[in-house]
Amino acid sequence: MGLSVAVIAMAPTIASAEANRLTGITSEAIDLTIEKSLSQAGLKAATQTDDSEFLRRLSLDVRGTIPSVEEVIAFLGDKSPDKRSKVIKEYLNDPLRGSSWANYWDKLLVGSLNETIGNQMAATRAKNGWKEWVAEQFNDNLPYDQFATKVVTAEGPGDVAPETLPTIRWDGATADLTGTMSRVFLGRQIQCAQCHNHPYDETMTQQMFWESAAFFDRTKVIPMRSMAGRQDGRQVIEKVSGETKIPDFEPATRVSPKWIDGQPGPAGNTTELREAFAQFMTQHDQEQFARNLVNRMWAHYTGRGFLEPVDDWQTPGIVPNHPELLSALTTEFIASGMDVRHLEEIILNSRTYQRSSRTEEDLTGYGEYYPVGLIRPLSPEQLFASVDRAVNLSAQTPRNRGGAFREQLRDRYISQFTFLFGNDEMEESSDFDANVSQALFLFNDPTLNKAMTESKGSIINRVLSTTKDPREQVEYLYLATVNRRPTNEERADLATMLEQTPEKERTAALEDILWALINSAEFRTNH
Amino acid sequence: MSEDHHDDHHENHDHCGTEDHEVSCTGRRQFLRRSLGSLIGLSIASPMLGLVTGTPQISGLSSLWAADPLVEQMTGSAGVRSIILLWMDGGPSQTDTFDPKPGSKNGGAFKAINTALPGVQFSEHLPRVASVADRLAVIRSMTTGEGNHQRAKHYMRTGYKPAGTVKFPGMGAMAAHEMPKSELDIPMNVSINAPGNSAGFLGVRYDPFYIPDPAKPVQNLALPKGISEERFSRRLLLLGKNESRFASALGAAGSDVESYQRIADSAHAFMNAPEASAFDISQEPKAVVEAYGDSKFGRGCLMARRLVEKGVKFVEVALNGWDTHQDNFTRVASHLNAVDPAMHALITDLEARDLLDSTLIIWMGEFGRTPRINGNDGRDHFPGAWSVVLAGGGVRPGVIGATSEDGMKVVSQPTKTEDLFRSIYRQAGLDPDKQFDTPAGRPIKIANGGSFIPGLV
Repeated sequence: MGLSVAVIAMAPTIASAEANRLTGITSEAIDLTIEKSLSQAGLKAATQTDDSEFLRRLSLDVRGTIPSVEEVIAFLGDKSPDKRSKVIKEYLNDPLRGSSWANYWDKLLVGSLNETIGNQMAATRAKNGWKEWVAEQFNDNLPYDQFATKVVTAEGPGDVAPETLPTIRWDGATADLTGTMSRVFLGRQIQCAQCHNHPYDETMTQQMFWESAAFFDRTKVIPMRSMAGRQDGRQVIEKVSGETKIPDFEPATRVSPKWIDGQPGPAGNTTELREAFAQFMTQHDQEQFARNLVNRMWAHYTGRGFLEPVDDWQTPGIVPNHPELLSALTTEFIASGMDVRHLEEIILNSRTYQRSSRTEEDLTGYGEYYPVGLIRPLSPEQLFASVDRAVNLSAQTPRNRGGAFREQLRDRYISQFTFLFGNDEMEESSDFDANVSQALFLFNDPTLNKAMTESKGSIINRVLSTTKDPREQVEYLYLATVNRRPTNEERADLATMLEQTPEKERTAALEDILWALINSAEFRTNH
Repeated sequence: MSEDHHDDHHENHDHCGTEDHEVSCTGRRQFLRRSLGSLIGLSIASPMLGLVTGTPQISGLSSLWAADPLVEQMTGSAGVRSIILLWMDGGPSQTDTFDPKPGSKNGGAFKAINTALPGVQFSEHLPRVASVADRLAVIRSMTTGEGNHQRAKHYMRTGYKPAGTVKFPGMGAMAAHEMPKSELDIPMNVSINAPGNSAGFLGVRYDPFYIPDPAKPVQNLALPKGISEERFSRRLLLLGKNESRFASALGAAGSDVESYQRIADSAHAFMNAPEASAFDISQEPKAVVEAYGDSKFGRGCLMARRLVEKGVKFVEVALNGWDTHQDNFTRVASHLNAVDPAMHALITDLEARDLLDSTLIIWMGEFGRTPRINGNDGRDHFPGAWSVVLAGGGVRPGVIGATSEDGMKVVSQPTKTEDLFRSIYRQAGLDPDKQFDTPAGRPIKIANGGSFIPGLV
């Protein structure tokens, strides 16, 4: 505990976990709170996840992909009592975590790009650059307020400053840009008040919306012209002057930038209106800014926010469950210098997060007590990454083509996944209903099928070269796909099937076993 | 807006023209997370593919309507079995298509021509459609208030303005969900050339089946090379075992993943369905293919005809590129080059096969375009006074409503989105006031109020 004063005084730009143990909220504290309310409600919580369930869920949640065969075997064989907190730390420091967050923020801030961004290739390039940038910020564990500030105030050419993409994608539609920033970073849906006073929140008027929008109204997205005069992408600039008027309003009313609590923003000429917005957001409104992230993070990992919907702090009557816990986590988050990784570590080490999804009780309707782990569909990016890891899909790209071609093919494949398995809402998907196009894809897609056959570099190839024992072969396939050992029944069933298959048809049988695992709900969900 | 803002793409103009919202603007969280069993009175087994246990709904509802005098007027149709939506994405200009203004300075580059409807003219680039104008109901008085693409598309494709939390189903999903099902193993909701609208709270299984290119065979319908029927059967057997083991391991939460098994069954049935040949337009005689025109849109319309022949409930055929802020006339002429033969062929073809009365065709986009021509030889967004055209499905041919001489406003029979949806759904045999209980507890009706459009049937 002797670290105290010196460490606080450092106010580190890259926050360290050590410093933050001081404030005191721990995983244990989370569990005591949740378990108390469970017991008061007379509810029995589900058991804890077993090691296989835990590792798979953790890997998907933090890294956006399933664990590898080697990782599963190592974890299952690890006898140390703190193996779970060790692997949590390991995954939190894995670069894949950055990519996972990149997909999350991309969905919220950019979504599917509209036509103004150019052709498909330009859009893909822009998205990839932006996602790489986000991944970097999170892997470096940049304090969250700095990340948000960078996004809000982003300017310059799109290809040089990838953080401009959330601004560029709205192409000058100020109301939409304002609405998005408010919804994503403050959890406030103010865009409903564009055309009239907010339908259910009497405190939010149309004028107030446009006073917020005034912070963004001088921001312009303009084309950049190359030497040849072609339109070659876009850039973001902020003009020094300009007035904001409420559209279609009688009498014609000019507004100046003002925060929703009435605090005025900068008046007159300045190119720093968005800087001002970012400051209001991260300091003046710090509590809301921070708790919005805490709530989102809690929802991301447990499947259910303290407040649901996570972006609706606006509507009166919608209140968070366990407000004191949310508050304590928010205080911790702020005190830590908005250290995202630290917050994740606290959540992931809790029993609440590690609760199994298996239960005999029907616990529908008790979501706010967190009695059981939730089943969620994999996002398209998670599904692609997991399929790739399981069957080595990437090995299917023709080897005589260069890296750039492989990237392009990969991008095209991913966008196919995104199209089939995603939705166009700018929010995380919780809908795990399947549809026929998805099923047909996983059934019959030629590239996926080829990856599941015995070809060079394929998983079947790996299995055959690892062992000739049917029982071990089955085990390998289970570890690679559903990340667990088969049950005795499964192993016996399938090994028998293999043994009864004529020698020359045995490989085909293995392929079919693999197919049935990849197509299974167990593979396609996070449970 | 900023005073120095001249960008024609700015989408905040014409946004705020409407007075009332019936629905709140809350979060964007999707509510239907758990089972769809909470939705009232609907079949569970593979409804997407028309295999159902329930009886058709039309008969049960007619007694409800008997009291309503307007219903007498509406029951002109012998029963619509299918809807074809011809979706003109971007906002098609009414002045250059179905509501020309030859005398006005806003009239633009196109001339107007006479049609099979006496006294009614269309754009010169719709000669074939003009010849079958006596099968069309041309609503020239749409006034809908939403001038933002995203909002307007949502509005014109679901009948509701976007309202945050609630995920409203697209028209196709609603049709697939509500119209009497046929005993078919092919999808009941199909979208050609564009992905179409999600089924929202009705569930992903009612999502449209997407055909990106009507000239190509359906993706992934055939077994991959090297996999025999026998092997595929074994695969399905193994999969079935995995699914039931997993569901049982999950215990009470097992029902959450039931949908995967159901959909797998549906997908398999689709693979083997003889009606799946409807997706293959190469089976048509060359002359027919030519009549629909050499375009993705034309081929899409031909596929739509084949699909409704089999009993598919809803087919959307999209034509993109109507957002003509610049170069309006060249671009619209080019689009009409595709629309004219296709729409004409579709109508006459269905008529020849005795299917026109039972197929409701809708031609529309998300809004119209300004009568005033801008500095880039273009027209901008204009939801104030625009056109939607209906054909078949028992509609009464003629023009409904009118715009002023300069096209700037509606002067007779203003028609809102809600009116259009009420009328369309009613014509298709749905009860527009039927309610769904979304898990949030908010009841959502099929149609958001509105009145039947007088003179439509």
